[in-house]
Amino acid sequence: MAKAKCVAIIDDDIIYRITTQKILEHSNLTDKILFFSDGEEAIEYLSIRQNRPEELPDVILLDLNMPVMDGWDFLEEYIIVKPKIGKQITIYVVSSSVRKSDIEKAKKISEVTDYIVKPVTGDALTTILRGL
Amino acid sequence: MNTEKDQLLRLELLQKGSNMGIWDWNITTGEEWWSERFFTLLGYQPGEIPAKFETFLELLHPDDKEGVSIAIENHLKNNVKYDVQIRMRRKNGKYFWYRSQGQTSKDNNGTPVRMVGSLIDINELKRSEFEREVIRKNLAQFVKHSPAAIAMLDTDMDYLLVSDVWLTDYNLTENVVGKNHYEVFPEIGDEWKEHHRLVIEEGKTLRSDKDKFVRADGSVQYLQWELRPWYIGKKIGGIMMFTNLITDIVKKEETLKKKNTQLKALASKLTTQKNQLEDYAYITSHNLRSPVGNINALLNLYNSDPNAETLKFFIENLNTTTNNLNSTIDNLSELFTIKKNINKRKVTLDLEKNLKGVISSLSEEIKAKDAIVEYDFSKAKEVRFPKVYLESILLNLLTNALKYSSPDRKPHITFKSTPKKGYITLSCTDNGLGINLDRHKHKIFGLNKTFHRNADARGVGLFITKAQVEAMEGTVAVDSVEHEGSTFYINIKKI
Repeated sequence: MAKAKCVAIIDDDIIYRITTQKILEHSNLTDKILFFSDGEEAIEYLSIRQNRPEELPDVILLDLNMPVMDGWDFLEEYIIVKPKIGKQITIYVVSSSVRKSDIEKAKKISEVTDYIVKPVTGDALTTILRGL
Repeated sequence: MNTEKDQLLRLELLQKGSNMGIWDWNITTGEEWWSERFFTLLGYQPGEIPAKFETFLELLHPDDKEGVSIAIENHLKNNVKYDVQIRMRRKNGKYFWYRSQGQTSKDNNGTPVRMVGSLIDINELKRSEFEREVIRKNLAQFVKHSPAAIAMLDTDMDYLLVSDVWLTDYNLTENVVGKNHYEVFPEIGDEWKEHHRLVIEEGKTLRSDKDKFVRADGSVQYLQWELRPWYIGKKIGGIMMFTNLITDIVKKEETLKKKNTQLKALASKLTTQKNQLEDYAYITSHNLRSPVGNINALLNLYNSDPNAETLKFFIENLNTTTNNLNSTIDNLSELFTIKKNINKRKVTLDLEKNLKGVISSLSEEIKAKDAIVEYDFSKAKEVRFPKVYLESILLNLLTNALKYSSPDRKPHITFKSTPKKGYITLSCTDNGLGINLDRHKHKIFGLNKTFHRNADARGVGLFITKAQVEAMEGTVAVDSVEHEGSTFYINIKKI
C-alpha cells in the first residue's frame, strides 16, 4: 500500500467535515486531515508553508459555496500562488451544486481534477486516494 | 443754313445715315414712297417690291392687321399718336418685330391728305424681352411646382416667389406672394429674425439639420433649413429659403426611442426575473441538497458501525442538519411568498416613524454595541411601499450594520433618503468592517453568502431585501471599502 496521504478539506459545513473525517479514518488511507472553513484560511495556510512540502496536502477537497472566500475565489488565488508551492496538489471540487454551469466551469479549470457531487461516499474517497 | 434746299439735304442725310426706314403715304391718291432703308430693313433691294400700302398690308403679320388699322383710325379721327409694334414678313419669309410711327398732315378742311412715318427694327429688343418674360414665367412655375418648400423674398422679407409645398407644409391657406414673412408667421422669434438679418445684411448662408419651430397654434414642427442671399448684380436682392419638414421623421425617432427605452426596461425586468429564477433553482438544488446529503452521510456512518456511540453522534448531528434544512425551507417559503405577492399593495409610509419602530425593536443590540443610529429623511419623508417589506428592509439593514460593525470603533449608522428621477433612494451608511467588493460584489445579495467569519452570519437578510425590493420593481446597490464601512442603497419607485 502506498504511503498515507495528507488530505485538506475546505468546507464550511461542519457535518460534512465530521462525516468525511470519519470515513477517511475508517479507510486507513490517510494519516493527516487538514480542515479549513473557507478559502481564505486555506490560501493563508498554503502560502505560509509553500516551502515545506511535508506540511502541504496531497489532495484538496474543495467546496464551492463558502463564506468570506468561496471555492471559485480560492481557485483564482491558488492559480496565482501555485508556481511558488513546492508540491503537486490534486484538487477535487466537492459540492452540493448540481448546476450544469458550475460543473462545466470547474472542469474548465486545469487545476481541478474532477467535480464530485455531495454526498461523498467512502468508495469515492477511496478511489481518489488510491489514484494519487 | 435753313433754305428749303438745306432742309431737303438734311432730311436726305438723316434718312440715309440712320437705321430708320421712311415711308410717305399720299392718302388722297394712295401713292406711296419708301426710303432705301425701308426696303433693306425688310430684306429687299430698294425697289424690289412695289412701294404701296397694299404691299405693307401684305407683309404685315395677320395678327397685327387689326391693331394697325385701329391705330391709324385712332390717329386720323382722334389725333392719337400713331406708334405701333408690329411683325412684318421679311424676304426670307420670317417675321421680325418693327416699331412703326407716323404723323398726318391735313388740308385746310382738316381732311388728312398725307402721312409720313418711320420704321425701325426692334426684333432683338423684342426677343430678349420675350425671353426674359418666358424665363420669368417659367421660373415662377418651376418654383411653384418644385417638390420642396422654397421661398424667395426681398430684403424687406416680402414674398416674391413661393412653392406650393411651402404653402402646404406650413398650412397656409392662401398665396403669400406680396405679403411679409413676419405677417404670415407672426410666431417667428428673434432668433430667426437674426438669421434673416445675417443673410440680408451680411450675405451669410446659414443652415441647420434639425430645428424646432413652434407654431402660433402651439403645434411643433421640426425642419431642416437653408437660408442664402440672392443677388441683383453685386447687391443682395433678398433671401432664398429652402426648408424640409422632418416632423414625421423626428416623431418616428422619438417613438422609436421611447419604444427602445420600454424594451430595455422590459429586458432588464426579464433579466432580473431570470436571475431570480436561477437563484431559486440554485437554492432548491444546493441548499436543500446539502443537508439531505449530510443526513445520508450520517446514516451511512451509523450503518457501517451501528452501536450506541455512533447513534448518539448521529442524533446530535441530525439536529444541526435538520435545523439547517428548516431554515432553508423557511427562507424558500418566504421567497415564494414575496414572489407570489408581486402585486402587494403599496401604501404611503413615513420613513421616520417606521425606522423608529425598528430602532426600538433592536434597542438591546444597539445598547450592547454602544452604537449611534442617526437619520435624515428631510429630502424625502415618505415612500410608497408595502409596510411589511419596508420594516423588514430597515430591520435587515440595521441588523447588518450592527452585526458587521468594526471592533475598533464605535458603530455609527446613518439612514438617509434622497429623491431621484422616478425613484427615492434610501441609504444606510455604516463605519463597520466593510466588504471586499472586488471579490464579493457579484454575490453580495446572494443567499447564504457571508463575507465575514461571524458566528451568526447567515447570509439571508440582504437576499430577502433584494427579493422584496425587486418585487416592487426597485433596485439595490452597495458601496463599500474594507475596514472603513459600507453604504447600502435601496432604490424605491416613487409610484
